[in-house]
Parts: sequence; structure tokens; C-alpha cells
Amino acid sequence: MKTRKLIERIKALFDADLRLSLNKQQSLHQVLEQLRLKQKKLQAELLHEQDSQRRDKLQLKIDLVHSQRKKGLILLKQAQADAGPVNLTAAGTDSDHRCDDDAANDGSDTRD
Amino acid sequence: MLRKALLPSIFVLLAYSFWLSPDFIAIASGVAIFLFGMLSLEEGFRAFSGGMLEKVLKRSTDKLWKSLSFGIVTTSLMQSSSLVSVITISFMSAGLIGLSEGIGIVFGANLGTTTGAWLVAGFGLKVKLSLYAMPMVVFGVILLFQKAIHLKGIGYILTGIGFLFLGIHYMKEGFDAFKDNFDLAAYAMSGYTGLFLYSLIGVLATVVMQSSHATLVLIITALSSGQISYENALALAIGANVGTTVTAIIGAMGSNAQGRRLAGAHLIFNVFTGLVAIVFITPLLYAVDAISLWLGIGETDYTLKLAVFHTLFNLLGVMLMLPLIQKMVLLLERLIKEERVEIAKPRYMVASAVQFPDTAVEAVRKETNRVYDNARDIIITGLGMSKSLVLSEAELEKPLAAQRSVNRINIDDLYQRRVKSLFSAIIAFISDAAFSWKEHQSGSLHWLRDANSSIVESVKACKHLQKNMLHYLLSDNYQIRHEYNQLRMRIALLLRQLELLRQGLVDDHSLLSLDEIRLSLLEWDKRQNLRYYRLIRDGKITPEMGSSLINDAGYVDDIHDSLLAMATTLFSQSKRQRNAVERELSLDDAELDEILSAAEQARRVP
Repeated sequence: MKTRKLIERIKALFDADLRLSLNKQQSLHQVLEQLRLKQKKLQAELLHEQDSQRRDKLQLKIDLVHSQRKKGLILLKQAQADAGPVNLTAAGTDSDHRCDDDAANDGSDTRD
Repeated sequence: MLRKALLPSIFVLLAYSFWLSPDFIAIASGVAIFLFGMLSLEEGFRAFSGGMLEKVLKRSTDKLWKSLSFGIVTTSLMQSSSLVSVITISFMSAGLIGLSEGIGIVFGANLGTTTGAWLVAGFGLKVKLSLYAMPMVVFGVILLFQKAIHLKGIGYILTGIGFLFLGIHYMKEGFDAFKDNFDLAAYAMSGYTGLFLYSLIGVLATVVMQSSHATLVLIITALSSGQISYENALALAIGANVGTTVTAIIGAMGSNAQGRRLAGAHLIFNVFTGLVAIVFITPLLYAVDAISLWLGIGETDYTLKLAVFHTLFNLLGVMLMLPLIQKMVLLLERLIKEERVEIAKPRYMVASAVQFPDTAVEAVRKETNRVYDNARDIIITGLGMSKSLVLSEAELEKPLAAQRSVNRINIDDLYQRRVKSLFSAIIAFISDAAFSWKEHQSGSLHWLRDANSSIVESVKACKHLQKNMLHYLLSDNYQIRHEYNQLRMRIALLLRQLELLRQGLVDDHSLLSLDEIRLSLLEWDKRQNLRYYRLIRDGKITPEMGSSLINDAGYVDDIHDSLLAMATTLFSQSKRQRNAVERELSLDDAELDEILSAAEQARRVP
């Protein structure tokens, strides 16, 4: 695995398009990770919130972050497909950012 | 403090003077009507700027001999150098002609006015144009009610001239009380002392009578009855020539710097000519005698000799002053400065910055931040709010609802001076930037240019919003007041959030946090529209108010959209690649709408 990663990086040194794509994937990973943490934090807040109006607001925020993550995942898959068969980056794979099959992350399940 | 006290002090002083002297009321009202006439005249000529009159004026005054001839001919026809001078001042205030051309006309007017002396001395004729004042006002006012701009312009000009004469008439009436004090024989003196004294009397008499022609008639009468000597009569004529500039000076009081400069030139010319005439009185007298002999004027026909003298010393003055016109222009421009209009100038975009792509991008970014600062201030004050309140953490709703007076600022003017000037400089700077730059730097400039356009759009939307906003904020109808307060509060809240984002004071300062603001605005929008219809249906606001409200809510949306689009570029704290990704992840209106609809559905399900 490490060798493949090394080969990938060396390839990227000589291929500007690939380098660009890998950079994009890396940024996407970072943003998705940040969004995941944000969603978790909001969900934790929702659990302790009693006021119905504030709960609605929090829920809306969770829905928003969820949609952004969904969009991000589609973009990540597309970027990975564009980069070719081997597209590992330092940030990890798309499986790290699954949101639809993760019940805790799915906003609709936590709605009142 | 002093400035605030000045106007009430003037009012009190005037009121006290009116109580003391009814003549002073006539003089002061004469000055007021005269100035009103000047304003009307300026307004009228403004209607013709860029049109036929401007072309005709430009063509007939573009050379010195032309402007001189223009002054001579018009003054000979109108028989009033004062009127020609004040009309020239209003031409200049309306920007139809320049200072050099104006000075040429005034010099010409001084020559043209000498034809009056010939008419008075030769035929005893007195052209009294003031008789036409009232009909001019009547025709002028009728024309003011016309829709066509040119007819309206002519209306303003006629009304203006009518009021000028009416003003002069009242000033004369007021001064009539002092007229009898001019016993011309009382101060008979010889030598230079007599010359200076009688010149001064000539100035005063012309100021009092508001007509150098009237002074000439007085001089001729006194001369023919032997009350004064020939030399004293000449000195009076010199004084009358200087005194006639007072009308132009009063006219310039309500004018801009250009008009005041022309009045200054008029004064300089007439005082200089008068001094030259006094100093060279003896050679001038010889010249008058010689010319009179050549023209067949009798040795003792002093009235016609006076006309010769009047023409001669004005001609001498013009000949002496003509080569000095440009120097006079420079001097007047230095002495009478244009009122400084504060125009925002670029601070960071120096010419050398174009050479270095990263520096150039940074310079444009900093300048765009200034454009935003200025636009934000215009929006805040334009909607009657205070910057300290909007950009603080204080509660907004109560202070805004409690506001009972709103200051109206001229958004258009501020936009031109504080936003457009910088925006134009940014566009010019970006155009100068090399195209061989790396893609990402050109891309950054592209985004920054778009951010500037968005800022401009927000100010324009605010301008449209201002009219109804300021009107309804003071309405007696609580509901419409409340709704408009809500509208401006939305803008204030957005500006607050953007400020926090800009300073990096929010937990999540990525571009994606802007989606949160977008979502809440969209939700609010949906709710508001329903509310507006309900308010109309319940009769709490009239349908007219409702339609204004719906339109203005649209402008608020435009301001939001523009400012959010700007913030996407300007307030992003992320690096370039990250920024591009965040842009892609941002949700569009349809996606946000979908979230809202889903939330709405979920709420309905028990």
C-alpha cells in the first residue's frame, strides 16, 4: 500500500492534472471531515435541547450540513474517478466519509 | 456648535432689523428675490446643457474676440451689463462655459454698456427692461407647468430674469430712502481727492440705484445744472462703473466657485479700469477733447463728452486687461477654491503592483475591502440606521422600532464618490494587469471583480429600497412601520454576521457557513410573503402598502444575494484549493429549498 502511494506521488510530480486532482481530493477530504464533526456537534446539542423552536433551528442546520456532505461525497467520487484507477491520498478514502448509511449521521432520523 | 448657532443668529438679527426699518425689509427681500431669480436662471440653463444652447454658446465664445463681441452685442441689446454678467455667472454655474470665456463676455459687457451712455447723453433715451419683469414671470410660470424639458427650461429662464428685475426693483425701493442724501454738489472738490471722493459717491449711488444708467442720468442732470464740475462728473462715471459690479457680486453669492470667480474677475476689471482712469485722468481728458473735436461734439456739450469718456476708459481697461486674462484666471482659481468633494481614491493599487501578480491580487483584495466598507456604511445610513448600532452586539429590534426621525442621505451622490470611484479604479487596474499571469491569479482577479460588481448591485438595490423605507418608517400605521423595520433588521443582521465572518470570529468561518445564512433568509422569505398577504387580507395594511412591501422585500433579497456573493470571495479565510472546493459544495437555491420543504413536511407529520 505504501509503495503504491509512493508511486502515485511520484506520478503526480510529473503530471499537473493528476496533481491538481489529488489536491482537490485532499481538500474535499478535509472539508468533509470538518462537516462530519460539525454535524456530530449539532446532533449532540439537539439531544440536550428542550425548546421546540431551537430544536427546529438545530435540525435545519443538521439537514443543511447533511446535504453539503452528500454533495461533497458525490464530488469526491467524481474526482476519484477522474484521477484514474489508483487514487489514494494521504487523507484517506471515501469510505471514511459515508453519511447515508450511518444512522446517527442521518438528520431525518433525529427529527421530532 | 458654532455652525449650529449661526443660522438662528442670522434669523434673529434679520428679524430685529426688519422690526427697526421697513426699508431694510425691502432691501433684504430684494436681495432674496434676486438670488431666487439666479437659482431659477441656473436651473433653466441646466436644462440646455449638452444641447443646442451649449453648442451655440461654445461656438460663439470659443475665441477671445468672439466672447468679447458676444458681451458687447448682448449688453448693447439688453442695455444692462449687470444682467449680462449675472446670466454669464449662471451659464458658468450650469457648466455651459468656462472661466476664460466668461471673463471675455464680462469685458465685452463693459464695452457694451457704454452704448447706454451714448443713448442717455445723445437721445435722453432710457431703456427700461424692468417693465417686462412681470410678464416674464407670468409666461415663465406657465411654461414651468409644461412637460417638455426645454419648455420648462425656458420657463425657468424667464421666471429667473423676471425675478432678477423684481429683486432689483425692491432693492431700489428700499434704497430710495437713502437717495435724497446724494447731494452731489455738497462735496465739490478739485484734484485727486475730489476724484477719489466722487468715484466713491458714484459707487454708492450705483449700489443704491442698482443701475449705472440711472447714475449716469443723475450725473448728466447735475452737470447740466452746473451742480458739479466736469471732472467730478467723470469721477462719478468711473465710480458708477465700479458700483455696477455689486449686482454681479450679489448674483455670485448663490453660485458655485466658477460663478464667484467670474464676479471676482468683473470686480478686478472694473476697479483696475477705474484706478487707471483716475491716475491718467489728464491725458484721458485731452484724448476726450481730441475725439470730441473729431466727432464734431461741441466744446461745452459735456453730456456727450461724458459718453466719449465712458467709452474711452472702458476701452483702455479692456486693452490693458486682455493680455492678463490667463493670469487673472490662475489668480482667481487660487483665491477662490472649488468646494472639495471627498472622492475615495485607491490606496493600495499603485502602478508598480501590476508587475507582481500576487501583490496585485492582494492590492485589489484590500481595495475591494474598502469598497465594501464604504458600501456597507452607505447601506446602513441610507436606511436610517447607525453604524455603531448595526456593528455592535446590542439588541436591534427595540432601538430601530423606537426611532422617530430618519435622516435621508443622498445614496446616489455617496455611491458616485465612495464606491464607483474605487470600483472604476479597480476595473482599470485589473485591465492593466498582464494576461500572462498564472491561471489562479487571473482567476482571483476575476472573482474579485465579480465581488465588486456584487457590492455595487447591493448599493443600487439599497437606493431603490430607500424611498419607501424612509417614507413608511415614519408612517402612522404601526403594522407597515413594523414590517419595514423587519426588512432593515434583516439587512442589519446580515451585515453583522458578515462582519463576524470577515474577522474570523465565528466557529466555522468556511464559505459553507454562508449557506446557513442563505437557508435562514429563504425560510424567512417564505414566511414573510404569506404574512404580507395576510396583512392585506385583514386590512392591517392597504394593498398599496402591501405591493410596496413585496417589491421592497425583493430589493432586500437582492441586497442579501449580492452581499453573500461578495462574501464568498472576499471573506473567505481558506486557501485557494480549499476555497474552490467550498464553492463547489455550496448549496444553490433549489437545494436549499429542498431542505426547507423536507423540514416542513417532517413538521407536519405527527
